[in-house]
Amino acid sequence: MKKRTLYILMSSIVVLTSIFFVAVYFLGLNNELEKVANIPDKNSEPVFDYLINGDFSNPLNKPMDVAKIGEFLYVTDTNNKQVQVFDVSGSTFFRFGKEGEGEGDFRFPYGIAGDEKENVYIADLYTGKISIFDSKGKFIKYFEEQDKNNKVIEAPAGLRITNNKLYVTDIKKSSVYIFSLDGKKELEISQGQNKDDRMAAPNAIALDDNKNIYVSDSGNQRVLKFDKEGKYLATINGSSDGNGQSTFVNPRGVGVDSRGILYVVNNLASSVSGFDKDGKKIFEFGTMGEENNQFYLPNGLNIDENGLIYITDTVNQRIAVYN
Amino acid sequence: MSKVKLSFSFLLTLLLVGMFSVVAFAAAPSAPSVKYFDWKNGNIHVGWTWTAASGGATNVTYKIFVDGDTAGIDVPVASGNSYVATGLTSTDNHTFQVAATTTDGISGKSTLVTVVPEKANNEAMVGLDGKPIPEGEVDNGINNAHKTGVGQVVKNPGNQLDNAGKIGAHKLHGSYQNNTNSCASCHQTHTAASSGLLFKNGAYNTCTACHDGTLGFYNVFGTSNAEDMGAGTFGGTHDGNMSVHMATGALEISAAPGSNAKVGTTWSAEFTCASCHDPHGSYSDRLLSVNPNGMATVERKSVNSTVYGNKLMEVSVYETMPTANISATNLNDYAFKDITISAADIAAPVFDTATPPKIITPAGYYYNTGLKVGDRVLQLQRYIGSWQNAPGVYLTKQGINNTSYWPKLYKDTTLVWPPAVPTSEPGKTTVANANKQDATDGKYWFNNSKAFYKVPGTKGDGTINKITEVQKAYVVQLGYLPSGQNKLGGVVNPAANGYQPLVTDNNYLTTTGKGIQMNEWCGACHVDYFTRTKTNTGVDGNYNHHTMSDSYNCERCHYAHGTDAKIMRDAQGSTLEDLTATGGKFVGNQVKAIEYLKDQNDSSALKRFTNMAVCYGCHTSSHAEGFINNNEYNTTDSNNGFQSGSVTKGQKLIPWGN
Repeated sequence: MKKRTLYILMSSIVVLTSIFFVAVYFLGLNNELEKVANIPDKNSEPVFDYLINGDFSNPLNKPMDVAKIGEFLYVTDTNNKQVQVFDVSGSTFFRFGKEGEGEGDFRFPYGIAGDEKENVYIADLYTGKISIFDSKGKFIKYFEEQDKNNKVIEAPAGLRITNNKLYVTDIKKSSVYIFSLDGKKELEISQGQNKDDRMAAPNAIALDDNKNIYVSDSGNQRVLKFDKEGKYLATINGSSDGNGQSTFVNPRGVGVDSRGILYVVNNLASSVSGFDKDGKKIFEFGTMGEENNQFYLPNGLNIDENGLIYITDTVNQRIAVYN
Repeated sequence: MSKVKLSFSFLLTLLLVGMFSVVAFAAAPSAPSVKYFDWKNGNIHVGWTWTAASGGATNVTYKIFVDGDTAGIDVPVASGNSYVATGLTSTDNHTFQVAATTTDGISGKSTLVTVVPEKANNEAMVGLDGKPIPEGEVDNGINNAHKTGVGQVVKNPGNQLDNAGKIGAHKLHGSYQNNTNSCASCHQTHTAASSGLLFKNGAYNTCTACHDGTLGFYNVFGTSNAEDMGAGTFGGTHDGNMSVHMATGALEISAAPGSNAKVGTTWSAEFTCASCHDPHGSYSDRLLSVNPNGMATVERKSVNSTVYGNKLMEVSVYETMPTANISATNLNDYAFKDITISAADIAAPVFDTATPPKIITPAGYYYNTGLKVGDRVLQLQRYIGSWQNAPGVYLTKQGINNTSYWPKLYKDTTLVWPPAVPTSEPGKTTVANANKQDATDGKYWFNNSKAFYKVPGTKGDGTINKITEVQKAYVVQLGYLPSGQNKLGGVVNPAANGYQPLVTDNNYLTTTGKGIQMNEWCGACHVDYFTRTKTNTGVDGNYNHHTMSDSYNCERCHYAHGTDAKIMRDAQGSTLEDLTATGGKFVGNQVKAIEYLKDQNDSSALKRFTNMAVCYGCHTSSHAEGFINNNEYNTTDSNNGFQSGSVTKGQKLIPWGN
């Protein structure tokens, strides 16, 4: 083989490979690609990875929820009435928001989610507003419902954005609403099995790969599972069939990983439970305390595209990261 | 064929491309992955997968590492990718790791998995009576959070109503279960940082995990009059010149203003939510503490014009209750009534047939106490407008069959039933007093929740004059009434939700029989402030605003939790909502209205009214001189600081000379 041919072959490989990865990066296709199968043990519990404590001079105070949007972690630093932004290694980048009721202010920043443009949506439980910021923390606007005469959001808590849809739980309304991002209400869920089976203070919401909806029905000590049309599928509460006595004590953040395992934060028990697709509990980790692998009133839970699990630990003022 | 030269750059490129390829296509894992592990028929079944690395090393055997064993157990490839571990104790956790041994050597170990013991299905909660608790009746849906102890303290025994006007509140923190699993929500058994096995500074954080609005009820941080602002807010802002009872544990109780006398017993304790609220139940509305600042064990005294403490001494016993000159300041508002139990006293409640059943006739006061018709009982009563049964005794000893407390009974000056040491008292094997038989199990006992003493024999056996030492639990009835009526009192305008005073015949604002309970309770820490002064000094020698009456209860001027401009009122009783509404002083101008309502003093002092409107709201005339040029106020249109309909318009509330 001629040397020249070999060089051409090899440089083509290099150039093509580079073009591919550069294209993926700049066109934002990283979420579209089929991932190299992450084949962890089917039912194994996640392993504690590290803690994000934030900046020493600006510690978190009651971090209620967390979301990875773009390359950064956005945390609702609720008692400080602000949002803190970290890189995934836990270095503080910047903060935004202050106490108040003006644009960009918060009274009880709670649920947090990002859209495809990496805009940051933050629910304020007390003011009843969902604020939209750009990824740098600049206030853009409030989320406006299209039907201005029949606004439904009163006390928004959990937020998720998937496929340009906003999923929001409302604590006072004890309902879940699904909006298009331009504010059109598409679905409302407020009951479990039947109309007498009302939700009570749902605090968090999550979706799995099949777009099934999981709602942390905190006041009823359970998680409800619905299909994407809002049809009731199952109740998960730690008992064998979901009908027995709940083992949750104030369930909060929920998330589903790529294996289909449902994670539920058990706030007052300071633990996180994992359930398989049949609603059977397969593990539980975390106890009350300050060490690694311990929590003190954990609340929010979010799983990023790499399968990292972020859990806000409100009293320990930190984010625990599990892998 | 020419000789191929391999340059350095070629090798480097090859290396880089190779690395890229590795990243892109991901190498096969070298360690096995555990796929499942579970208990089956008393043994643990473990299964795994393993992908042989390219290159063709032959798999010889797998190794299983159980419970940290380093040698490992060999499992032949032929037996498949699974293993059954036998002989392991089914009550312990067990750990497993798997490695593959090949002709190239041994692989890394798989991720450690832990198999927890098999558990029986979580059974339905069973009540103290052994019967399953129907769905929906379990603690307001909360699975036993905050539950410890059983039945030591009962819920408020009256027909208490919650905000929705439903009878039977306190479910959340009551109804303890025998199989509770949630004590650890608040307590650490072996590693607690605070006394009482509590987490350090745990109360504030634990309480606000739910009471921050995330469960949709009793949000202690709300700042809108539309919400229930009966106790004010912990969620005020700097802009609203907020002030709060600093309940985070950062302060000691001794920081309480008016605590100069230091007669309580827990002054050095951290001030937290639990200083004022008993999460396990109380005799009071809103779970207010039965023993604030330890004052239930401090002798009730009248010093100067202040009364403090709640350990009642030398309590009289009557067959016919007196009516003259009964007052707290005379310390004669508590007495025992000598009664004989009738059939009605122990009657069971009567229900209708609806589902769920509703009570038609409530139970007799002594229902379920074990008393029988004809039994002789000394019942503690308090004069609250009339003589009423006074439940709740603070316990220092635990005994048998609810025999929790042994007061001394006197017949004239002779001790007839002494403070016998209960035979079951821990650590005491001998009984000092020869009369111990009088405290026989189940026979002559003091019921702590209903505060009665069962006397042996009948009234014919002689007169009992007095009982010494009753450590009386504090009881505060906020007088919750069905929706549309007020807190801390009787009827006011339905719009007065969350608002306090009521109107009596003479148009003064009082809360008959209840205000003074509130004052005593606040006075457990703010001792000096609980006075009937104007003309007499309190314990600390100061003159204080009169607080020793129903009329002048603390809650009339102050919020219990905290205040903020947003929930304050002006002297006319106008709120932020009133001021910004159509026809208000600042229509639509929230900013100006807040500025108007913002307290200008260094501390807004938890006041319900801004600035000194807290005075002016009531004192629309002066003891010194009549107000002049007072056209802004006290006209025939004025509600004198209170809700429309709750007062006669233009009425001078605290008239000159009174």
